[in-house]
Amino acid sequence: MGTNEPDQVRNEIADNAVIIGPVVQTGTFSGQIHHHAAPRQPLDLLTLRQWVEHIAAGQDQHARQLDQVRAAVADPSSADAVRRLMIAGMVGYLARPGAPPDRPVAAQIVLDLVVFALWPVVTAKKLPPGWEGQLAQLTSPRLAVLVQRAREQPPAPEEFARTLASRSFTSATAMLFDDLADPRRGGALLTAMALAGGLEAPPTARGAGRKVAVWALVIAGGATLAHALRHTDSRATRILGEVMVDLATGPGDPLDLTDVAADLVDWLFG
Amino acid sequence: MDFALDTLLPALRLAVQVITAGSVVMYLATLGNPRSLRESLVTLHGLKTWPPTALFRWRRQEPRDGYEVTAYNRNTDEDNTLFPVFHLARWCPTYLMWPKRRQRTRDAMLRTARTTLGVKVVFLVAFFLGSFAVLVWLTFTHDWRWVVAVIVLAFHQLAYYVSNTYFHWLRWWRLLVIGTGCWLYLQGGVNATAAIVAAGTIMCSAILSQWQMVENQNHLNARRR
Repeated sequence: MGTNEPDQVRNEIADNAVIIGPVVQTGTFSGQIHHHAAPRQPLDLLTLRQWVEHIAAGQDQHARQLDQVRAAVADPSSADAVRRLMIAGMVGYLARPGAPPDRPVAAQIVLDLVVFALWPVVTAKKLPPGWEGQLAQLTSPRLAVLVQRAREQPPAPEEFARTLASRSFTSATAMLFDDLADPRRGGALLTAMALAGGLEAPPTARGAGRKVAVWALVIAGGATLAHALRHTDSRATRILGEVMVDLATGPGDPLDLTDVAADLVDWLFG
Repeated sequence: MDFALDTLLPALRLAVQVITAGSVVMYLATLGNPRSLRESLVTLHGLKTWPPTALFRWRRQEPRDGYEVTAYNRNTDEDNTLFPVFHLARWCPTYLMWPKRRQRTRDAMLRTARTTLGVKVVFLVAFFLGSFAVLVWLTFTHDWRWVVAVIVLAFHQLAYYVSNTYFHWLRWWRLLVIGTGCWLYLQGGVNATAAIVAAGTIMCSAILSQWQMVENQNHLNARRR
């Protein structure tokens, strides 16, 4: 399959997804906010709860993990709620496809992923004691401080995205993917949520943060992103590389951005 | 003087008993030393001064291991990493509670610090106060010469409290001193009391000399800084 059929590829990914609410595009790392024809908004807790209830209904597999997410969304003050809310928010973004991006948007997708993952944490009325530390552990102290400030006076989603877009959070994103890839941490939950949301199972394994990042970017960016990554000197590739470079790789697995792009294209076009 | 084998062997056995019991009592008393408790309180207080978003990562470093802290710096708008923030002594059993592979949150660190503090309080009552109580009880009920052991232990604990350094009292020449003292003690009479007092005096002198060496070293290090 060639790159001339991006929409078809995107539809393949999105066929089983559940769509609730509008479609979203929030911002870029350049600080510019791009609103598309059908703007998507990160899910607040109520919408997220409805969506989680919807996808969890009738799911026999991974019932325990889904119940944990449902409990966290219903009562965000429960233990380990931060990770569950973030995973629910992120899968909510991936499983609810928006309009195809009109230009290479690797940075924008990464930003969207972070915004969607964080928004339930920003909007939750009550979080468990020590949630700041949990969030810092999942991302970085700087991002946790930013969310802490946002919670004091919750901004509009666009404003929050703009604040994030004005800073570089590559190491925080790398930490997040590292956690999501580890089956003993966020991996099992991510897999359960992704399957319930109609997505392909993420390639979770310890140290497979890079693969999970590619998995998320492929789902969110579709063929347009893959096309952009074929040009390894493009801005999209450079920004993607900044995110990837901090992710754990084994000693026999040195990071090569060209390989990442090739993996991505192979994955997408099979 | 009786150098027969049947007096040397009991002396050797007594020396081993004294050395074993002395080592154990000094170690246990040091675990519950108020200085250990104070260090735990300082650690707990120090942890509370960090923001809840700070992250702690275990690092091994000579002579004492500790944690590096990554925290957000408002002035630079970056995460700064500082090391070492506080140290932990390897010889204390509570050390085992600290090393963790993953970075930890401030709340997790506070939980460990509170547990450590609780354990140290138990050590203070059971080992530190308990050791002195047992030795004083022995002094009044069994033999007044147990007061020498009380003095040696008090001196050792005072040195630890001031210098925050555990002094190993077992050295080969001290084994010789204890051995000779035991042999003299078993001779009975005036020799027994003289041997106990002499051994106690030598022990206190040895601790004092080590203490002074540590103080001088600390003074030199402070001047270099």
